[in-house]
Amino acid sequence: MEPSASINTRAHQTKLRMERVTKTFPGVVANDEVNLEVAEGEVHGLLGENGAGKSTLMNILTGVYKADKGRIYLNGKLVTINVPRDALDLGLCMVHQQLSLVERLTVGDNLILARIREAPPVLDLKTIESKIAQLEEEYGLKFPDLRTRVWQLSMGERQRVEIIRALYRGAKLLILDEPTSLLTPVEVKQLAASLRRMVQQGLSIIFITHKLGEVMSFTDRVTVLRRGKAMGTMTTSEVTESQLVRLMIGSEIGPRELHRPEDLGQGAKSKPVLEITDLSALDDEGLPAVRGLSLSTEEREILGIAGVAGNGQKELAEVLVGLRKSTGGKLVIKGRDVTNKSPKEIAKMGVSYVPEERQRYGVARDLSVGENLILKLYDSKTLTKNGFIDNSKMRTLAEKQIKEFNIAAPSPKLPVKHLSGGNLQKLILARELSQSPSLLIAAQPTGGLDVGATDFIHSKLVELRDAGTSVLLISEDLQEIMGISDRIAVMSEGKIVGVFPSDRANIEEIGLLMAAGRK
Amino acid sequence: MNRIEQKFWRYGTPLSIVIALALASVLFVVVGRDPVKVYVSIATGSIGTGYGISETILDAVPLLLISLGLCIAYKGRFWNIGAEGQYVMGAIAITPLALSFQGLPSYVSIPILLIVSFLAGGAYGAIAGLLRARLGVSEIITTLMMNFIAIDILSYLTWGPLMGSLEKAGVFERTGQPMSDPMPLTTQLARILPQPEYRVNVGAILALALVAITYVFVTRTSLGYQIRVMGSNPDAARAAGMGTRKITIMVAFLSGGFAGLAGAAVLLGAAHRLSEGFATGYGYTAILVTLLGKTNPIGALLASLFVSGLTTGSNFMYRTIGLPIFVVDIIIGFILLVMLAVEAVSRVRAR
Repeated sequence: MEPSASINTRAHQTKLRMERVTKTFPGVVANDEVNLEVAEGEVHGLLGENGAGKSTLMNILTGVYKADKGRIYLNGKLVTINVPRDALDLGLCMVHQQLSLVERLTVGDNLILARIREAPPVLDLKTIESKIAQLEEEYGLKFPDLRTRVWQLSMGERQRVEIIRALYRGAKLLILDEPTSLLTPVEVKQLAASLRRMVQQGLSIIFITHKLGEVMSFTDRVTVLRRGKAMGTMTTSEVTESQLVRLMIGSEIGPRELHRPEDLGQGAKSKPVLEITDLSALDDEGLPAVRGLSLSTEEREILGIAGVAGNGQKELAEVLVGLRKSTGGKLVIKGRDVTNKSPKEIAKMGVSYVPEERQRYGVARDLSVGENLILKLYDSKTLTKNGFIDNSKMRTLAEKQIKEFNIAAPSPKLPVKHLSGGNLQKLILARELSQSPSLLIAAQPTGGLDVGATDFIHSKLVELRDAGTSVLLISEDLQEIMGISDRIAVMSEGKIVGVFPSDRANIEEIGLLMAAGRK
Repeated sequence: MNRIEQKFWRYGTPLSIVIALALASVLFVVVGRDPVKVYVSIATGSIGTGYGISETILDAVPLLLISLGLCIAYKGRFWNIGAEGQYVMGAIAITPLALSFQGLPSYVSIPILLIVSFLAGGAYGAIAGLLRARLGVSEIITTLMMNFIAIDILSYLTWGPLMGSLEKAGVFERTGQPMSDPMPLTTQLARILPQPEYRVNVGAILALALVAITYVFVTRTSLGYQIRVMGSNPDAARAAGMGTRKITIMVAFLSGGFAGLAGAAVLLGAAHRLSEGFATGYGYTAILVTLLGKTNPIGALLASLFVSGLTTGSNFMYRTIGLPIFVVDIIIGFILLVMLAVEAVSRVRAR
């Protein structure tokens, strides 16, 4: 396959060609015969939803994973990349979302470390100063003082250090994984300018993103991945955002007919359960993640929150259950103001939570399956008496839930650390759904589950809804949202940008809102 | 993990001990001693005679009591290394009280003293718990630092307000240490055996009962469960609505309380006078005991007997073959290193 002749700028020859790359993990095909071509001197976007296979493909290119099948050509020559070292020696450098600098060392030390094999026995900053100055000059990257310690730098500066480090290592092809996620708007502009300079110097850049706006403003060409398959490569200036959305999330899906309650919309007016007003919160880095969000849910409804990961959904869920402090706004549950109340107080109001970070918030790994199933019943009257836990009741309850939710545990006594991810998720769901909550916050509830288990969980959620529970379903899986929600809210950049009754929801409109964050 | 590895794990600690003893043997050979003779001598001194057994048990009681508290603390991942100070505080608190209990019957005075020692040690430990729960201050640092404060307070009191009448008059015992007046006979823990040389007392029975109580507490009660959840995953505990701050303070209090109780057991059971040198390192040795017993109360029972056997036996060894008693520290050091190595290896294997 030749690169299309219509590349608007610098129609150079092919730098990198990945041919029919296939990689399977247990239970999922992460890359299915993927082809990718990157020309010399271009910014090439790699667009796709989470789990579309972008990271896997790049991990294969940089030697982190080994492909099951497929070839990689660099400058027309077949290359083998078995370990990350091979990729680095070929000039393939990746800047990850989680930056990999040694925070306690200085910027200079980090750079020396990048080429430690050629460093003199006594390290001396002078040896690299001139080289760095030259790189700064060449690419117009403003660079922090070499003697600053990395932990003192802002995220944007750290990322620049990482990019310089890659160039200093002799990168010919730079891979940037969601590079704007840590940056402020000003820094994003600076980055765009530097990337331009770099490609003008002949560098090739692969730009991984799930944001349409960035594809439009950063890239020359773009390849779209969906569920492990490459959906095609296009010249950016010749496509529209809605064409990209269709490629990215597909257009064949429609709402599935899944037992809707008959009296929905008619019947008696439902009582509000969750009322969020103008809520804001910070993420772990201290950057705004939820920005003035308002939303409310009612009894007997599933409200689906659609959105691309990283738009504040995780933080929103954590604020709702009291695990994260809000920095503004108001949170009311069942008529009571619970803004910044403790998780304990909120749980006591009948709020259940299926966390996105299962390992972190969902289970105690050293304890048994049975003990984890009663995690929220530690002081309930049914299970404890005079401060003692009734072991036989715990066992009965655990055995029932293990059976009902089909958790692969031979006995409630099995330590949780021996469970697989899917079974862990079933355990958490069993625990949270079995408490007949009045409000259920379910974040990515079916992530990691197979089709059968997913269907089971969906019918469970519907069952709960029919019993009166208000379900807030946060999911990246649009099909899931469309399938079981009564209303759909689209979240982008920490705000709700649109709410639709699900029978009037249009997949393309939602997709566009998700990706672009504006109407 | 296959079956062999599971078995290996179950016997991991005894195995580590055997390997460590073998390693220490090499050391003995290097300095020209017959390792067999060294070990036989230690064994004879600790379990070879009635007196040895009695001393071994006597010495194991404070180790065990402290270690039980540390089992609770470490299960909740509260790294209390301040048991030494909490132990001292337990003893300090009851000294003036016991001295004022002249003439009160034992069944009144002793329970009061034991409870007060527990509360005092617990309160001292709870300070670190409070600092950690409220301000996020590392308990490793606070508990360690508070050991020195406690020992300085002990020093001040034994040179000042609590100094015995003889010492005040300038008469010191051979140790040259200042110490309090002796505890009234009614506050001393009764010995179990009639022979005067057997010093083992009812403190041992108390400790044994507390092994069972601690075990049930940790495995069966709601609070013990919450402590284990918090130790395994504090985030999950919080998400489940547990009051992790309260639990942290509680854990700090309980583990300090056990150490305070150990102070009472030694003061009322063996020392009978509060001296400037009252803190002899039980609080630190108990950390090793707890790790050796894998934070399990029954493991702590076995480990405390083992370690105190080594200490008691080493005195005998010193007298008979002249090797310094510090040999024991070397052996214990080896055991811990081997345990860590075994754990590291098995963790790598499990991947």
